[in-house]
Amino acid sequence: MLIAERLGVVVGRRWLLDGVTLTVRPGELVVVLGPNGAGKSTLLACLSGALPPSSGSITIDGRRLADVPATDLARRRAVVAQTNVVTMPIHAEEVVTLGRMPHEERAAHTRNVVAAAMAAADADDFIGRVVPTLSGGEQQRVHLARALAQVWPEDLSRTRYLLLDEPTSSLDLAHQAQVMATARSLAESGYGVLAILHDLNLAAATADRLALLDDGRLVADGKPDEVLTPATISHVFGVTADVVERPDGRGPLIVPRVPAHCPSRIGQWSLS
Amino acid sequence: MCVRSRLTLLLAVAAFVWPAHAAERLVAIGGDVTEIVFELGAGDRLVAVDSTSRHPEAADALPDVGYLRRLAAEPIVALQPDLVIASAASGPPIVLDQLRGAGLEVVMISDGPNVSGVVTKIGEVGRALGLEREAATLGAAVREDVERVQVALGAIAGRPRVLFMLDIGRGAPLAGGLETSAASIIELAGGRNAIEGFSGYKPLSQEAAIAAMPDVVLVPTRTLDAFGGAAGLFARPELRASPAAAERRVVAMDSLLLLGFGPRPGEAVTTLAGALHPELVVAAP
Amino acid sequence: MTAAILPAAARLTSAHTRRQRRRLAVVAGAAFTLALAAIAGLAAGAVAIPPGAVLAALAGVGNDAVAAAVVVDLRLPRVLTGCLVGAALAVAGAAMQGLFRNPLADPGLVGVSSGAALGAVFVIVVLGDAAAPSRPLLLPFAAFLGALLATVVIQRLATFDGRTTTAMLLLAGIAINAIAGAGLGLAAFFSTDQQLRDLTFWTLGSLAGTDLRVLWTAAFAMLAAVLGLALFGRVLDACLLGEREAAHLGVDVERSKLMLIALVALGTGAAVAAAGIIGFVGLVVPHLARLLVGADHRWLMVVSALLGAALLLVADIAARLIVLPAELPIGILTSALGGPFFLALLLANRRRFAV
Repeated sequence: MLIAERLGVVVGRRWLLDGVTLTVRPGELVVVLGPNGAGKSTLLACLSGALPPSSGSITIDGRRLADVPATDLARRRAVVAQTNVVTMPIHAEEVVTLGRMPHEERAAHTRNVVAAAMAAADADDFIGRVVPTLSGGEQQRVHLARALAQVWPEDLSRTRYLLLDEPTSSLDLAHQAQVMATARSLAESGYGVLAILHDLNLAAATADRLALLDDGRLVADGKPDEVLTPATISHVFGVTADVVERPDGRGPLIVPRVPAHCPSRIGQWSLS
Repeated sequence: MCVRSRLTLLLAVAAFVWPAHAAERLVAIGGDVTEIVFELGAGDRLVAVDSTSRHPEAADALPDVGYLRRLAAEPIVALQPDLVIASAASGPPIVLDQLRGAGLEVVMISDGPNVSGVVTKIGEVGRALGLEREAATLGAAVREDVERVQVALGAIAGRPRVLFMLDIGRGAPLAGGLETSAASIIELAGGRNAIEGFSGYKPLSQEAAIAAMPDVVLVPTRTLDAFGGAAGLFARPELRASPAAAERRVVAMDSLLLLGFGPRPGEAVTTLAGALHPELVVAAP
Repeated sequence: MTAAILPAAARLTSAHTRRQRRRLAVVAGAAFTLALAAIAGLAAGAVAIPPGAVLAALAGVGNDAVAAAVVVDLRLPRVLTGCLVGAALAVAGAAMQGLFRNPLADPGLVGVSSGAALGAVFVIVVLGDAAAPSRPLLLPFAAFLGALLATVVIQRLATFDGRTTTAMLLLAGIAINAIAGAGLGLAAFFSTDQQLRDLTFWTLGSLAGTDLRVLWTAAFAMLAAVLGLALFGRVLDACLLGEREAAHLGVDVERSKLMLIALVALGTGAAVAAAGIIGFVGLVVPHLARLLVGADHRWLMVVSALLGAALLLVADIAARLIVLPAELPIGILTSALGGPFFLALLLANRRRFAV
């Protein structure tokens, strides 16, 4: 289990995270939601070990995160960052192969894992392509494949975690659904998956649990229909929304109300 | 082993058969050295010179092996000189070693920026070329020229303050401080160096130039051209109020003649002394 | 599942095989070019020596004393210096570009070479004749310290939160070059005539005037830097994804950065100690190598080393033959080549660098 307890991160006088307690269990897909600046990426940075928290503690499978050797940690959890701009002419499969860096293994085995991970992320069409020539969404899939390769399930002796920061931000509709389906199936095969999303409906449809952050605090943590209520949505996002049941019955569907007469600010100020 | 001993023998025989003055292919490094070679009448033996050797004209026409401080060994070796005669300012040292390593005879000529230094230099070049007698004559003539000026100067009391300026193309012009060839030639020509605060050639600050209160400004011809003639020179803020500007006293001379301390210091000193002291009468030789 | 991924694995294998073949061909070609350049460097020059006599001189069996002196004492040290300096500068450039994730990071451009030159000049002018006996050791060491200081300052300034911006990198370079330039100017101001003569060597590079005793120390340092940097190929690959991503892959980024900076400074410092400032090799060569073998640093380092050595040898041959019987400073040639190349690089990337 990946457990964060009463996490606090302070920069200057501002608490980016304040008393956040969150658990990611193996076999579970947790989606973190919240408005811009709520502390989602900071939370992910703490959980990945990149950012030591100012207060509180993080443990991974019972050990303090800071005490786990870097290579060991790299074999247990992979991270896909929000933006990842590769500027040098490196091939897609070479990027994915970097995911196998923490593993000591035969080249043939590496190649099989890389091929499997690229297929799973629907990135195998990019074999032989140079990364900077791919579109943003295509690059995102390559990085997902890299993360998958890093924690590919070769043996089930240890739990693996996948931390995804807005993995669908540059993707088209089909690939958004596909990435989340991959995340789901990984969770079902025993991974602990944590993803940051902006799309409440995508989150509600795929997540086992939702964690809602607002201004550095965890304001709700539970099943989608428990968390996504008109009251919390209004409180956290400042948007009035209707919550209805999805036609397929999998979780709630959030329909924000767009005011009929949106008071325009254009023309409010005289330019003369 | 056999080859080497044969080579040594060959060299020994060569040294015996051809005395030093038989050097027929010379490379001269340094403008002063080249000029002395020409003055000693051995100019036709030169096969190449460095880029500072601009005088006389015949030297300027010879192949150029580059700046004396950045020499390269192989091109000089390729010229197959039997003597390289180089100013002490030549370098880098490793290249001189390489020349010797390639079997060339390299003679270094000392570098003293004053009259006895010139006489020594002439002697050294003469010895290297086997022209000792000619060198002795030239050295004596140089000494005599300078001495005649000194004698004539003895009758004159005034010693004008002379500021030597050298334009290097960017930033402030350089001025000649203590222990420079400019200072010693000014001294010999009956002037006082207006700069006493530093030694060597240093960028001249405008205020230091004003404080120097020069009666005369001494510049290489090329610098005067760069400043736009006397009018341009005295329009410069640091000189506008100087005594030199009031009487528009500027002396422009060839820089090699002035600073090189080649074989013509007599000429340089005489010319400058005449410019500093128009009333000066130097006895005819 | 296995059946489904098989086509991808097969494609991966064939892509890998094709690339590997291509890369081997490039390495072979680069090695061949270097060999040709080295042969040309030994055979060409102002003194005409027939190939047979060159071989005889190298084997030590010739009976032409002048040919032996020219080939063994003049050309051979130049060729060795050129190989090492070219390889060291190119590999240092490749490592810096990987570390900063920026193709414009070049030891000369961002001030590492100037820092090294300042260190060397410090030994000549400030310590003066007192340090002369220990100069062969002291000079490369001081150049290394100067380069190290410059690299650390650049790294601190240009990298923030794991990301390097081109603007900060180049601005930091301008600042460091300015400071080093002021230091060199100051040294020139206070130096004696003899010291000034030594100084000109550092500011306009040359393969001709290397003190053999300095060369031995510097050669050892350059070799160590090239081999050391080559070992960091995988780590540099990971750094292409970003420092944080590299850390996620289990790389000890801080420690690696320290080692890389020290090795870059070692290589650049030793190269400057041996041959003065020779610009743009670290910019042009890794870029060319990347076009040939891609960004995989294990290959990039090898190809950069070979091509860097070859480029410098060719530049040196040109430097000695163009203005016979004089010689051009080699730094002028590499800058004449690298300046327009740099402009082209800026032009090609101006959208990306305009941030």
